[in-house]
Amino acid sequence: MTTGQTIAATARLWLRHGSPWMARARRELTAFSPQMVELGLHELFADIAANVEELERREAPRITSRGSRVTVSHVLSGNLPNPGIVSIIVGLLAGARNIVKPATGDQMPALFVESLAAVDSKLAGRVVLTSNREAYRKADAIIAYGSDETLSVLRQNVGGASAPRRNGKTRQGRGAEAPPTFFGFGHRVSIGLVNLRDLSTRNTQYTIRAAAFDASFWDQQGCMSPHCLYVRGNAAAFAEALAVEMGQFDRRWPRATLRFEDAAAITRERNEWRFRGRVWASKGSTHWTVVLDEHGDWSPSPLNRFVFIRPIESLARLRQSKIQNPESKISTVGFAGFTPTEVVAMAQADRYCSLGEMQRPSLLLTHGSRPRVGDLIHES
Amino acid sequence: MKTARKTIYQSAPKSPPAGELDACIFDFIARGVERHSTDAEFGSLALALFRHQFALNRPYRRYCELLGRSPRNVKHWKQIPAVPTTAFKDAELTTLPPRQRTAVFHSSGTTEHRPSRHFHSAATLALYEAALWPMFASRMLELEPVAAVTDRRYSNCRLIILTPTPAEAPHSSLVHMMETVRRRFGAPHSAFVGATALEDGRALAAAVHSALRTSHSAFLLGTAFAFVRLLDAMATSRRGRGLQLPPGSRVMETGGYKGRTREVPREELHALISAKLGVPRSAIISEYGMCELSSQFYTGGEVRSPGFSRQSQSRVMAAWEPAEAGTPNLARDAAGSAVFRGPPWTRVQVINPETDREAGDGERGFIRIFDLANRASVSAIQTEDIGIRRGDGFELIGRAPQAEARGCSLMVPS
Repeated sequence: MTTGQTIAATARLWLRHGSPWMARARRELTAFSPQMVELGLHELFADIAANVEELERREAPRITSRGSRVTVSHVLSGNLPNPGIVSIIVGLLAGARNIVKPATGDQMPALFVESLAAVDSKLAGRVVLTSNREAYRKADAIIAYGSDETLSVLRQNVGGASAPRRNGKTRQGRGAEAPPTFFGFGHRVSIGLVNLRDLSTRNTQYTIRAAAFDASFWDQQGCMSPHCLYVRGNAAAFAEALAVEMGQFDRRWPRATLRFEDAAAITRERNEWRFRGRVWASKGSTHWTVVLDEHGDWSPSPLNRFVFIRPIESLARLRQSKIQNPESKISTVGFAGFTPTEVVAMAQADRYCSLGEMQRPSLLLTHGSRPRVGDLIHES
Repeated sequence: MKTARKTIYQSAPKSPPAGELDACIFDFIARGVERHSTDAEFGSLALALFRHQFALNRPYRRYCELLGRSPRNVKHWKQIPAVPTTAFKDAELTTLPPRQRTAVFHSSGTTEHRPSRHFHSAATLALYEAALWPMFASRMLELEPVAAVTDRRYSNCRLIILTPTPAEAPHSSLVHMMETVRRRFGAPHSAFVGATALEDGRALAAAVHSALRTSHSAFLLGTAFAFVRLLDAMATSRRGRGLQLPPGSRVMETGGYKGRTREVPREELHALISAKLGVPRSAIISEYGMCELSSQFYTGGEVRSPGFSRQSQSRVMAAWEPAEAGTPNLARDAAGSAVFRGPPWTRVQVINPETDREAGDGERGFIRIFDLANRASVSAIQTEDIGIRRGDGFELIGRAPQAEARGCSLMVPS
């Protein structure tokens, strides 16, 4: 079996009805509700099972024998499981040895590697999990996820460090002092654009449900979930309908219990916006919040299923903000009712997709959220 | 639209006139701060005030209507809608017509483009001044308000106020409070150090040093940031190192840092003040106030929780444990030392952010204040500060976290 085939087989283990791996994930991934874990991982492994072999085929011309001599460090942030799993898969497809430092308390990388070992223990042996915060230094390439501050520190440390020698040899193609290649993935936000005027009633219903999915899936922890939806048409009616859908989503896939600080951030925003705009929110909890801001500037959501609705005219203010600039901080734009050409003209982003697909990026696309397989073994 | 509004509210109780309310609030204040007000006393005036503010404060009424609250269905003071402090930035939250607005207090902060605005008339400013004195007299002077001016202990004592002067900060509620205290206190040599001295630590130390030369005891009143600047200067200047407050002196620290100097946790700041200025910890008081309020909260004093005997309160205080590992137990040194309490014309609720319900004793939440002296704005204020409920008071933790961008896909080029 090729590496891609092995990974696909592993993904299918997770997708089986009554999968013990999924059962363990439901128990051990406590940052989300068990229902959310199951839905999220099902989406992730379905994508992996469907696309990993195709990804391997596409990347094949760039994968060289050098891959087996390369070590890739993965420093994971733990806000959601997807980036870590995808990162490990990219390292494995490159043929590299992988050192993985999961976020404190994040069980998912260990579970995934364990499931991989059940299919191919030799391949799983190419992934080493560590809690050593300094382990990332001993690598030819580093893939790091986290806050901008964390990435800045990591990058500074790497830049200043001498490249380690192994087996008395310097790294192939590099000087002994060359730092490892650094791939950092930090803060970004996503938005949605909705044109209600060009949607049929049926499509409007679908769009509202899709928007609720994007704003609720993985409790909005990923950078591809929308902070704000800009609406052409009746934004207030859209907000009200979205609130109903978010409530329904929460009943089926409840949000996690939050830390005090996260709940406080939501309540603080709710209090402020109850005076400044209109708020639809879950009663007696912070589970979901929809805020209609008809006059406001860009402001980030406190996340955990808290989404702003702004009229499309406000998009001009977003363009003037530091969120939208030549080095774009917008990851994904989800849209409905607009043409792709209109959307690209309205907002600069790494990825454009239909509303409802924002948090379901295909493994086949890099869209700024992972390095390409070949980049890890590229000889400079 | 006008007709509809008339129809909706014609059955609601009438709004009492401002003069009548002022008289009731003055009466409340005149009873002093040592006697606890009953819920019935407090609630009756709070509901009358709500009717007044609902009728005359348009943005507040609109807010209440959005929440589905009006004098018709608000039957208890706890049901009065609390406005967030940020609302004072967005709207003119006042019952006063423009011609009656003789003063306005702004929120401080070097980075605030839109400060909060709290308007006052001559009448409500008089209320503000009347409301601030009894608690100050009780907590700082340890006296009944009427005795303070003539008490012999303070005959050669002066106030050294570590803030700008009233002329330099005409819209600061804190400076107005200090000026009111200075006038009521009556010591002729009491003074503000002024804005220039506050900008330069050495000048601040020199000003304090100079003020101390001729006084037997002193009350040093200032913001946390001013104390940090003073202490930093003392560490580096010869004159500063010899700065010691005379026996009998007291210190009142208030407010935050607003990014103007390094931040020092309150407990650590008090320890530094005590060590460097030679003041016992028991003589250092913290004050909590804001421009959106007309009353202040102080540390010190007893828990007056209804239903708690003094003995049971002591047991509760002794049993307090740190909220989290590593957090200092502020209540350990002296009962109530880190607990803020207000005068009887105020009430405090600590609101659990997840459930929006009142937190239990010892639990964290948002501090919500009901201040009957806020006659011309809104009596119920939802602050952005987090506190731990302690009986009828609260232990202040600090400002609630703000939303921050988070994510996982910004490409940082190698």
